[in-house]
Order: sequence, then structure tokens, then C-alpha cells
Amino acid sequence: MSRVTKKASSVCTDSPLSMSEVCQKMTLMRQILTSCFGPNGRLKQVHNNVGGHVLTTSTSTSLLQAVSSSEPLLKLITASILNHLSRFSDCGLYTGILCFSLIDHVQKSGLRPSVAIKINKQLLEVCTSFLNQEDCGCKVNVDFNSCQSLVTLARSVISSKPACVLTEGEQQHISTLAVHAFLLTVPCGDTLSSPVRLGRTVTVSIEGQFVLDSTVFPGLLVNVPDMQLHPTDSERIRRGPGPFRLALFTVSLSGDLSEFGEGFLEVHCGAPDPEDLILDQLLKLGEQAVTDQVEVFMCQRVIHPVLQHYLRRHGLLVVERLGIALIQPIVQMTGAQAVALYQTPIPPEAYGQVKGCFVRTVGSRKMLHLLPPREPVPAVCTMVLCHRNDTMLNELKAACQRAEHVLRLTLRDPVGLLGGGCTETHMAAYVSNKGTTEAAEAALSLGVSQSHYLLGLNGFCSSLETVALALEHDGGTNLVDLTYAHHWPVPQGEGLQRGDEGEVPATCGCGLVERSSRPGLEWTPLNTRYPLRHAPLVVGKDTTPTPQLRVLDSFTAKLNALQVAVEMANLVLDIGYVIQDVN
Amino acid sequence: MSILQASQKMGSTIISQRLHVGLQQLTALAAVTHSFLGPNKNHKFIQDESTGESSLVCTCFRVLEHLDLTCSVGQLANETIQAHQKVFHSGAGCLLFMAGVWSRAALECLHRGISIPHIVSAMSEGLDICWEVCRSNSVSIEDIRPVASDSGISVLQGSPHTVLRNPVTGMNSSHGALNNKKQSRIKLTHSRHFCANDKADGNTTPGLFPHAVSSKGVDIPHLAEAVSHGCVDAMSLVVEVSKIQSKNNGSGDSCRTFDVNKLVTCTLPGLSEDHSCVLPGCVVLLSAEQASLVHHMKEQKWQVVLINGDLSEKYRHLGFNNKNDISQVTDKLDLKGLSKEDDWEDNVLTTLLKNNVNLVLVNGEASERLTQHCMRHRILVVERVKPDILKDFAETTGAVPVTYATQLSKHCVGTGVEISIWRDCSGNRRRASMAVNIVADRTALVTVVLTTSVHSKLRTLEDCFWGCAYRLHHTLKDRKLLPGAGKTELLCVQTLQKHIEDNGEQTRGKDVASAPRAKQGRAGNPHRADVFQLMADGWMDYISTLMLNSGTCSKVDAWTTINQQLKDLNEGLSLDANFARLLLRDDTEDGMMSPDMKRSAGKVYDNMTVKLEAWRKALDLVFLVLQTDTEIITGIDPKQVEGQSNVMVL
Repeated sequence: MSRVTKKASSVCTDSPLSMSEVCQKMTLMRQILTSCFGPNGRLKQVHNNVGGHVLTTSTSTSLLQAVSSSEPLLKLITASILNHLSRFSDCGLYTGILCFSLIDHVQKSGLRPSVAIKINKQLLEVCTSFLNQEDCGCKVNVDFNSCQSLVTLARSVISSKPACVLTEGEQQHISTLAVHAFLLTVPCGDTLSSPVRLGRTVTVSIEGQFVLDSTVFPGLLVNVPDMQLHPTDSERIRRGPGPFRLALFTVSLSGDLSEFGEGFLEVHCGAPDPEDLILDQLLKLGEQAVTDQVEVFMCQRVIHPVLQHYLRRHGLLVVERLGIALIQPIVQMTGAQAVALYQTPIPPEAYGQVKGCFVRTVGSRKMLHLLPPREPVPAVCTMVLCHRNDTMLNELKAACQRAEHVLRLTLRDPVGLLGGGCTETHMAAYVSNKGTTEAAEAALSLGVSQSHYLLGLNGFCSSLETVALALEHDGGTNLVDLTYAHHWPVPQGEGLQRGDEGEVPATCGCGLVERSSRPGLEWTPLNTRYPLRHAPLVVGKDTTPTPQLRVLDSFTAKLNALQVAVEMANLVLDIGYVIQDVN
Repeated sequence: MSILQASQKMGSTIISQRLHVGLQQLTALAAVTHSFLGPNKNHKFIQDESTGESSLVCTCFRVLEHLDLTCSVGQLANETIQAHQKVFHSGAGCLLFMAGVWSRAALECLHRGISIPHIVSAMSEGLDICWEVCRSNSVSIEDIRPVASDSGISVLQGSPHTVLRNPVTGMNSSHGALNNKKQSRIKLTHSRHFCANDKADGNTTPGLFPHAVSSKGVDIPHLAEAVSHGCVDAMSLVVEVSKIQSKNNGSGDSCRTFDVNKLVTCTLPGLSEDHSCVLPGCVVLLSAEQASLVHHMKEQKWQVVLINGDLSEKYRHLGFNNKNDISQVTDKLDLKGLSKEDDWEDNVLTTLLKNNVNLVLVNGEASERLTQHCMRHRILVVERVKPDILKDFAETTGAVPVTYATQLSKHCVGTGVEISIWRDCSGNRRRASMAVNIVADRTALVTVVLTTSVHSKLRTLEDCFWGCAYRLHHTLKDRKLLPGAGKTELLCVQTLQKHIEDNGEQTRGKDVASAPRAKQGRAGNPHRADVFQLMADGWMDYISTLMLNSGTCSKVDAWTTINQQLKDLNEGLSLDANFARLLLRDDTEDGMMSPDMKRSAGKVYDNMTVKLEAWRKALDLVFLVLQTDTEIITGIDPKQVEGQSNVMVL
């Protein structure tokens, strides 16, 4: 019996940003994101209240998906970060920290939201046009003639996640693998005639093995349960080079009646058993496969044991229960069409090809390795990731997928941004300088007073610098040099007196500026109002040898993150009412 | 609505860092298993208050299995331990112990105000140093040979190549250390760390012994003794297994091969422990009725079929969605009274008889009626056979496993199986009471029958046996061993202390102010010495706990002894054999220990890969917990947490 309850009226909150509860929650979220940021970030353990699986992570994707808030404004921001991540994979924490910081600065400055929004918008344009300039000081061209900058890009992504628990050597190994896998998926040769299609990387994770055992193979690794590898199979699998014909099914070939839907079925006693009829049909399919000289017979779901038996008797390699995740890669690699029907004969064009297949032992698992049919470039490759435990393996897997995405983004825009907080400090100095010198015109065109404009400008620049500051979690000091406006983190315990050069590290955060080769640098603590901001100089490549960049971030991802952060901050600032349906 | 609760366990301020709850939890959890360290294990009873059930445990991973781990750190630890156990089947206790002591070390570092990146970098550097120490001090298994009995106690080091004998020249000068490293590199060509190519190409070759570790020129019984770690009885069973496998492999009577993958255990409660034994093939328990059939089947080769799944009419393969809404309708009276099941039974029986099958091995359950029918036709049906056993029979007899008995045909039948009654166990009113031994021709499969009169000890015995089996397996796989009984740990402590001294000299020797920060990162870590000392204390704790558990001395005495040993080591004296012997319970007064046993006490060895991996994983666990600052609990009702001071709601 259903009860009729009176519908509660909606709850309307006036200017939510002024509520202390909302502010508290926003601060908490900001702290969580900030403390996760960077290679020294802190991890979060997430689990539910009934003792479910414990997720240990500092990755924004995993974290934001696992954590949800009751606050509509936070939900809004979380959703936009996740949306950004689904398109670019990288810079999730960056977006969050910058967005919260912008909101915070506007609230503290006492500017009216409408004024702040206008100023933020204009400064965002300054930033994007700066980043898109040819001679922008934060940009580095990605050189495809050598792997160096690609590896640096990949390593910056992988090393920024402490929960992967990798040594330096392991980081290098995994970054190289990520680049290797990426290069395998890029087609080469004449691509002018047809549109370029990137291949894909399938990740297989193996727990309990050494990280250095991780590898990349061209082709696919398919999980085969031990019992399925009959002794006769192993012999056949090693048979000479192909190509072999392959049939792929997505429909269940288990021989049950589940496809017929709901309802009763009445079978007359004398009539043949429906199960037998289906089995007959399956065997007919098998017969066709045998006459068509199929060598590899695969199914996403279950294959009836009798059919399996029949196929194996005729020398076919049978693999069942592939799972949906592998279907698309197999289709892409072999050129097969996934068949979703067993009642009709297999159309000849549905067959695909593999060059060969053999059993490979990966860690403790035996897997079937399918070799791609065509040389030269296989479009599909498999990355086997090994790590000592599940938590670190999951984090590593996420990091590698992120690295792959970041590397792919470089194909569209072959540039990277200086990492280690240097882009933020450099950009903040540039924006601050440009804004101050052109304050009068800008204020006039926006229709705000010049003092308001300068207030907004200061907040914007501080927010950018906050991101660089967020890299530090251990009470260290952050410096910025007055010539190039790069970021110089000084670890804690190496106490800093102002101007004490002895304690400043040898290079800046990204590694581009070296103290030894550039005498006469002056430093000042970051995020203090240092008196005069010169237009920061671009680091010339005149010094030899050119210093090695340590950290490189994705240009495309960061540019979009910047836009999302500013727009989200503006949107949240603009919200006057929150109306909640509490029913 | 999903609500998030964030409990800030550790903020960014130093004061709250000192109360790092996660590290404390890890230390507390590890303390539970301290008594399992060493050869003299104390058993523990775990009792479930709610159900009243209790179980007897003496291994670390079994304890964690039984504990209700509500804290997230506990779950993380359990996950690590089980993963390690799954791969190595040994060393879990060492892992948890080290995780415990090192989390205490990390906590102490936080107390001293050392920042987390510094702790992490120094600790992983410390471990790297000790890895290198272990590698250069590992002993090749070819060098571990029985010592001539009259040479006395002084022959502690089995290997003439070990650096252990001369620690000063080996470690003091950096030049010597370099040489060592090189040497060990060359030696380690068999290690899987350095032979990535070998491994990549190591696709399994089908054959009789795909996994057997070749062990040319190696004395397996002696090696087994070296890694028995006090489980003498279990290890002698392992050696017996090796003997049988070698015989089947054609190596004659000598002990040359050991394949842990061709090994199954069968537990029989009721018999006393001396009845444990090793048999070729597999052992199954049958009812007296079925066993009487076996009497007629003696001393002949029989034909076998293998069934994957249940042997019954109702059974359908995995993934088959059985529809219940199919009904049979009929328009005439069924006079014969034959059900579908009768039809099926007839069908199966005809098939079996047609193919001259005498033995049916079923993975799942077998229909009782069919089993009876088969018996009348002198066909033995054995149910609940382990998949490993089925697989071995498939390989050796040529039988092809099928899911449905109706699909059997001539080529599915395997040949050459012998059946014999091994033992009558009918004393204890069990339904299946006859132990029957089934052996296929040329099989490598060996069954170890473990018996005990105390039922609750069965699992402990089994764990102990598998521990021994895998220790031997890893020994043959690594082809290297580490000096055991705490000697390796002692060397690590010594090396770390040496590094601490060098560190001190370096900083004193240099003009700190003018020294450029040339050495970035690790070398520039100002707290390196502190962290190393705390890490070394962890290993000291390990050795002293070993000694404490052996019952020979108190913890304080242990520390004194260890420090004395360290001093001797530094002065260039070799490790005292007595030191190692301290770890065995000294029963000499009762006349329990023969002089032979005394001598063998000095020759305890540990598995290298297992130990190093356990250390690495322990440190991983500590790092994960150390770097965690917030625990987030999702799905909590906000009203529930009102008034709790240490939680915040998001």
C-alpha cells in the first residue's frame, strides 16, 4: 500500500556563497584537492561505511568519482572537472585548485561578483592569447625526431602520482614503455590519401610481479583459463606462421534459450528437445567454420562445450569469454566483424586475420598472444603493467592511461608547457605586468574602476601562483626569480633567509633555468606582493649545453583546464539562488 | 544521497603529524604476528565471539584472513599480504613484521620533524643499499654442500665465495664494494631480474615437465635441510616428493628435480602424524562399497575418462541460463514410466561401456544413481577430483576432458591408469573411508598425504608443508640463497651503520656553507643518517624477536648479543656460529639435540627473492600509509556524524 505524503516545498537558498556551511565545505574540498597535488602530494583513503574496498589514490579521476558531496555548488564543480578529465585525462587537480582559489580570492577581495567576473574573463583572454603566442616563454616544442621530450611528458604524468610508489629507475622504465606503446599505435607510411586512424593500447595488469617486468607487445594478449588450454592446443598454437582466419562472435553460443525472452514454452512430448535443436544449429555453425578453414574461433561469451569439442577436434583454436572490452580491439586488429547471430551462416566478409598466436606466460598467468596480421605497423598493442600490489597497480594503470592520452594530444598540438609550477609563475608575472601597464584602458573598456581592476588582477595572479604553491606539502619555501619568473621550490629544513643564495636549489622547478649558468638571479618568496613585476624574460636557448627539462606538462590539457577553471569560478560566483527539491 | 565524511587524520601541521593514526595501526597489527617469527612458532587461537567458532593459526596470512579488519589500513595490509602469499607462498610473516617495525620508524621520523619526502627517499635508499648487500652476500646453491662432519663448528659459511667470511675487505673500501657488485652481476645471470629477454621468450614448452626446475649438480636433500626452517618433518616429505619426481623423470634414484606444480596434498584426519607419506599419482577417498570394486581392479591398466563439471542429467555448463519455464505437454499416457533421467543414464552407461571405460574422474559431483549403476558394470566413478589432478590425467593419459558424458567418444578415452587401495581409514565413521591411489603411466604428479589426529591442526600442517615446498622451489628457481637465521639482517644493519658513519664524516669534512648543492635529491638529504639508524633498528628488532621466540634469551640479552656481533663484524671477525645457534631452542640439557643437529643449526638459509620482495612490499605499505593524510568515508548519513569532533562532512 502506498502512502500519500504531502509534497514538501522546495528549499531556496539565497546567495549560497555567503553561507558559512557552504564555504566550509568548499574549503574542505579545496584542501583535499590541494593536498593531492604533485609528486609529493598526500594520498587519500576512500571507502564506504560498511567496510568496502579501500581506494588509496591522489588521482583526481579516481577521487572525484568515488567522492560525492551533498552541496550543489560542489557537485557542479566536480562534474565540470570530471567532464574536463573525460576529454583530456590530465590537469584535473589543477582545474579544481585554480577554480576554488579564484572564488576564494574574489570573496576575500570584496569585489562585486559581476565586476570580478568581467575582470576574470578579460584576464583569461590575456592568458590564452599569451599561451598561443609563438614566442611564449612557457612553451616548449615537442620534437618528434627524438623521444626525449615525449618521455619527459610521460614521466611528468607518471611521477606526479606518489601512490604508484616507483623508484626513479622504474619511473623511467614505465615512461619509456608508455612512449613505446604510443608510438606503436601511430600509423606510419602514406597517410595523406586516407584519414589517419590511431590504434589503441590495451592494458593488462598483473599483480605481484616486478615493475621492471612490465612490457609492451604489438598485438593482443587474451586471457585463457587454464582448463581451456588443452594439451593439444599448445601444439597447434605453435604452428608455423599464418595468416590464420579468425571468426569472432559477440552472441552467446552457450546453447541456452535466454534469447527467446519471457514467457512459457510448452514442448510436446514427442517433439525434439529445444536444447538439442539449438545445439544442432550451433554445430552447423561449427561445420561451416571448419569448411571455411577458420583457424581461430572466438566468442565474447560462452561457447557450448560440445561445439568447443567439435571445433577442437577439427584443429581450431577456441577461445570463449573474451569479455566486451576486448571485442573492439580484436575487430580493429584483425579486421573481423563481430557476429551477433548464430542462426544464419557466417558471411565471408566477417572473417578476420591474425598472423599467428602462441601462449605467453605473463607473471603467473598464461595468456594467448595474437599477432597482428599486417606489417608494418600494428595498430593495436598491449601494455603489460606489473606491480607489487593492487592499490599501486591501479594507480599505475590510471597514470599510464593518462600518459597515453597526453601523448596523443601532442599529435594535434606538438607543444608542451613547462612543469614544476614554472608556467604558472611565469604566466602570473606576465599577466600582472601587462595588466598593470594597461590597467587604465582595460578598466575603461570593462566599465570598472581602475582600483577594482587592479584588485581583480591581483586576485587572478595570486590564484595562478597558488597552483604553484600547492606543489609544496612539507613546509618548504617557494621562491620566484625576478628575471624569468620561474618557480624555485626550497625544501623544508633548509631554512631561508631572504637573499641567502646558498639555499636556493640548483635549478628551477622545470629544470630550464640553471643557477650556475645564469649568474645574477634574484629571488623573492612567491605570493608576496613583490614590488615591481617586470615583464618576465623568455629563457634563451643560447647557453650550451641546453639544460635538460625535468618536467613537462600537456599544453592542450592545461589550456583547457585554465579555461574550465575560470569559467567555472565565474559561473559559481554568478549563482544567486540554489533551489533544491527535497522530496 | 551520498554523503562524504572526511576525517582528517593528519593535517599539514607538524603537531598532528605526530599522531599519524595509520602508522600506529599498522604497527599494532604487525605486533599480533610477532610470535610467528622463527622456527619455534607459537600457535594462536582466534575466536569469533558471535558464532563461537575458533581456529588455530600459526601463520601471518591466516591470522589476517580471520581478523575482521575494519580499519582501512588493515585492509590494505591484508591485501598486500594475500597478494604476496599468492605469488610466493612464503615470507608473509617477514613482510608484516618489517611493515610494523618500519612504520614505527617512520612515525619516529615524523616525531623528529623529518618531512615525508625525506623519509621516503632515505628509506628507499636504505633498502636499495641493503638489496645490494644481499645480492653480493648471496650464496650460490652449488656452493651449499654438506660439511664434512669432523671439521667442527667453525665451518659456518657453506660457500667459499661468500663475502661474509671477510666482511671488512668486502665492504670497507668503496673499491671493494664496487668489485663485489661486478662479481655479483656476473653471478646473477640466472636471476630473473637480469634476464628479461629470457623471460619474454619463455613461452611454455609443452612437455612432461614444463615447470620443473632443472637442478643439475645440486644436492636437493641438503638444500631442503638448509631452508627447512625448523619444519623438519614437512621438509622430509618435500624431499620424498623430489625423489619420486626424479624417478619418474628418468633420473633414477638421485634427487635431481622438483616441480611444485605437479604436487597436490590430501589431508586425512584421524591417523597419527607419522602416517604422513608421499605417493605417486593422486589419492582419493571412496566409500567401502566402491573400494570393494577397486579390489578387483588391482594390477591392471585401465581406461579413463575425465568429466569437467557434474555428472548428472540436470547439470548444464557454466554460462548456460537454465530456463525453468519449459513444460512438457503430452496427449497420451506415458506407460513405460521412463523419465528423462532414466534415458540419460542409459545413454551415458551405454557410451561408457561402448568405449570400455573403467574409471570416470569427475570434477564436480556425480549422480548417486548413475554411480551405483556404473559400479554394477565395474566402472568406478570418482567425484570431486581437483582440477589440477584432472589436468595432469589429461596430459598423461591422453584423455580429453569433456563437459557432458554424452559427448564422449573413442578419442576422449585415456589409457594406462592403475588403481590400488592405499589404506583403510574407516575407523572414524566417515562415509568415504577408503583411501585409493590412482596413478597414470608416466605421470609426474605426486600426492602428499598429510595426517594428524588433531583435526584443527590439519590446515596448519598443510600450510607448513606448502611453505617448505615453495621454499625449496624458490631456492632452485633463484639458484641463490641468503644466509639465514638473522645473519642477512645483521649484515644490513652493519652496512647501514657504515653509511651513517661515512655520512657523518662527509658533512664534518666539508665546509658546509660553501658546498654547492651539487648532489641533489638523495645525497642532499639532511636526515639520511637518522632515517638509516631507525631503519636499522627495525632489522635489529627482527633479529632480537627471532632470538626471543627461540626461547634462548630475553630481548635485552638479544640486543646485547647482536651489538657484540656487530662489533665483531666491524673488527673483521667472522660471524659466530653460536649466534646462529641461539635461534634454535636449546634443548641440549634434555639431550634432545644431537651433535649433528647442533652443527646443522649454523647452516640456515633464506630465499633471496622472497625476502627481498617481502622487504620491498613492506616498505611500499609503509609509504602508502605514511603518505596518506585523509580517510574519506562515503555513504554516511550526516546526522550520524553530528557531534564527532574529528570528522568533517563534505
